[in-house]
Amino acid sequence: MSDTIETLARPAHREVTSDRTAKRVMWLYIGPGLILVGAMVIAGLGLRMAQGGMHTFQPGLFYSLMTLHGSAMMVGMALCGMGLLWYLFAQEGPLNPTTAVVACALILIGAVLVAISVLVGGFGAAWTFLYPLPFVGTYWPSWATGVFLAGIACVVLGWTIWCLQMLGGVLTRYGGLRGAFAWDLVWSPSKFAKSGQTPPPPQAFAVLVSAVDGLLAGSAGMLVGVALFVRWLDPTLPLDPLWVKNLTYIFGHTLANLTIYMPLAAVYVALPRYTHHRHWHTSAVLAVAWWATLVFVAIAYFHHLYMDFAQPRAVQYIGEAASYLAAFPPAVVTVFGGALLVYRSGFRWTLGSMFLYVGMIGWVVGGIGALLDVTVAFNIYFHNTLWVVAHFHTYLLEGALLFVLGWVFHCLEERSGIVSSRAVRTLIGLGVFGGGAWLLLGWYLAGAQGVPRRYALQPAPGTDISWWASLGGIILVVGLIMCGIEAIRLARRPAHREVPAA
Amino acid sequence: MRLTPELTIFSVFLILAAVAIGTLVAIASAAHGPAVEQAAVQKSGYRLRRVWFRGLAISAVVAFLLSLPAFPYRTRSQLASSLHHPVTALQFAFVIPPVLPVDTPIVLDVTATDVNHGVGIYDPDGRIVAQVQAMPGYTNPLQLVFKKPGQYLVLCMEYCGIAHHLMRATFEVR
Amino acid sequence: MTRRGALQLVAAVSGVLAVALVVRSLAEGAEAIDVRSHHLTHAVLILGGAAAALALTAANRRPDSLPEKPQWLLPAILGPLGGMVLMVPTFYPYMNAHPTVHALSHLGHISAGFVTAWCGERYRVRIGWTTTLFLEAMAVGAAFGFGVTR
Ligand code: HEM
Ligand SMILES: [Cu+2]
Repeated sequence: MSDTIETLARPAHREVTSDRTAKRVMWLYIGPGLILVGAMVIAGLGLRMAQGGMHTFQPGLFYSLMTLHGSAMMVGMALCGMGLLWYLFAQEGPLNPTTAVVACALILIGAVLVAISVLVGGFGAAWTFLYPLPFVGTYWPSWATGVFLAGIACVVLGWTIWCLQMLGGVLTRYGGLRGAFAWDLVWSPSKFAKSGQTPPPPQAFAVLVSAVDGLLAGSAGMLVGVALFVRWLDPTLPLDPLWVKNLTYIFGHTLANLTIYMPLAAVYVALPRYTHHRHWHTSAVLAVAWWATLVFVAIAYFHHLYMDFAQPRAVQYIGEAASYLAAFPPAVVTVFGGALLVYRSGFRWTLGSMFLYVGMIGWVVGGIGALLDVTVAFNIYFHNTLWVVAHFHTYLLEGALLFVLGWVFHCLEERSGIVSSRAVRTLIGLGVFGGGAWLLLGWYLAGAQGVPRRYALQPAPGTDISWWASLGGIILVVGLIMCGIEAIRLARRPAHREVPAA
Repeated sequence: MRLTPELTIFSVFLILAAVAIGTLVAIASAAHGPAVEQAAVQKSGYRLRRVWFRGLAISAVVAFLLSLPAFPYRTRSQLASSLHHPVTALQFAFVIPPVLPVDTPIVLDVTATDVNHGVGIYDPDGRIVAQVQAMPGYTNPLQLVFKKPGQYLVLCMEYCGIAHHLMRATFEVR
Repeated sequence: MTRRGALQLVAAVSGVLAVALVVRSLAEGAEAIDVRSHHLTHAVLILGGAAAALALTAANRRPDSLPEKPQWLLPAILGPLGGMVLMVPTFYPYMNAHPTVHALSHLGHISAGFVTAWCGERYRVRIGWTTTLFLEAMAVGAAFGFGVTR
């Protein structure tokens, strides 16, 4: 078994962004993204321990920190996914780095405004800032609401710019929607094969779907952002609460989902490099799976409004059906395909490949939790209980974040030419997966007993469970800190080779 | 700890999660060692995938159909026959009738005056039996039958501000 | 007629139609309408401006391979934002009371649509369509809750 890693063969005939520039842009996104995530992991642990009675947060501080934890996590994870996709697509077609820098800067400005609003102003309407909460009966000054909304506006603007750039890149590179969706590959495969064309690589579908659904989310986010901002300036302005709630969740649900689908591209690209000569090709099945993802991620958001009986009835049924259907592409194509790719492939386990693989497991387990919750019959018991917190932490923390970490370690391993020892891998694995599972189990268990989410102090049996779960959280954080140290160690190693071997 | 429906769902979750984790870990442990040609693995893999897809599709359809009767949404005519009781949520309290009848279909007309809240109803054993959102400007009709007499607890199920976790009410069912 | 000529005609017709709407209301005095219809009217005006821009850019279609022109992206995204600012319901009562200002403000909607589509398409081929949809989605969506309650 050799320790070298195949570098991606880059097509020479096409104009692409230089690898150096692309890497810089990628780190410009992933660096601050991971710093945000790291800081918020600590904040999250503080919240969990307070719920367990290990220390006390005044309710105001608890809810403000919860708001910061949620918003900054979403922004941080989005930044990581954006940087990753930008880098991967820059190897396919040219992308202008200036556009990406502007988008990133806007998002970081937004993050700073959100931080000011929460840390200085004490804003605490949760990251979903559901109208009329940011304006009515608040425990923070009105200016904090304005600054928070301005921050969200900057994030949405930056996000929209990124989506437009990526969409433009994909459409130009593959010949419009038809080419980018691999329409002909699916409907007239033999003609497509004879024409000598090749379909877009799998990661291009992640780019396309993120950009299209991202623009949908962006338009909802911008509309609700403008509406709330105007409401902040003009308190007499009437807004329909149900309308706002729909927009809020089109925005929030879609963005949260995309933070998983974006770093998934890392699995497509990096996982095969650890196998013995295996490849992840675009097939008609893969293309159709991404079409399904595009549609069902966008309309599954209705499950957030199951307990709003005023919502038109039909969409409640659509919500359940779409949520079930959204599980098919991962279950049948992506994770199945990933497992098949790895199976008896002479796989090389490193920290990077381990994270990528376990990320798929976390995604599936969180998905199972989600499927139970989106069944309306069960949602009656689970809506806004800790079950919700349990399932989304499963696929964000033990899914999306692991994809990102897997990619980061893949890059570090590739650059330094060395991999972490088995002992380090085991320790980190025990901390991150073992501690993580323990932490998550607490949320599932409490959720199953009807303990509501977003409670600074929980009714029984919440507090006891939180206490025990916090121990898992501490182990997890220790694992993540080891991860950080290992990353810094690898990053400080001299580059394995400056010029890729011919 | 009694095996309530929620704990049953929790057990189902644990079983499914264990199967998923077990399968993927088993595949991972077969990842090492001498490599097999990708084409060879794919041949049987794709056959398995078809079965898996069909199995999932059938399960999804069955689950969907089975879940339909439990949808809590009612038409106006379905609501007309029951006695209606108003419930109002506000920061940070519920206005709810102190006594409600046992074994009788009733409808709670739930609304809010200031921000969004949620009405989560816990039976005398502390089990959540029903919930619905309370939204200003809208009335959500929640139809239910209390099977057990005793003291019920209401908790807020939508984050509503600094005393969200203190927002509760009780009522008697008899 | 060539494809190019046809597209230019489409551009001219949508532009003229949108402006004609404004002129008509200038002459007759725009009627006072409720917020929802008002939003929807604005959505139509925006569409007129955008359609004109899209037809024009399609007539002078640039090759796909042209790289991004980032300087066009900012106006392409400020267009939708500006369009939304012109749809703030707080101004509507004033507009209803001042028909001339109101009619003139509709030129703003047309321009917002035009800028959004034109600059998007200049930024990169096909992006004008995207930004147009982005703005239209917001303009139509506004009719169901922005200054409107049940
Ligand atoms: C050590 C790791 C983490 C811990 C201990 C933690 C802890 C928490 C806690 C205690 C809450 C409040 C739950 C409640 O409603 O009672 C929360 C909410 C949340 N967390 Fe985490 N978390 C962690 C990692 C993450 C990660 C990696 C993400 C995203 C990628 C994330 C995203 C969120 C979001 C979006 C919320 C919702 C906030 C809200 O309800 O407004 N968390 N977390
Ligand atoms: Cu409340």
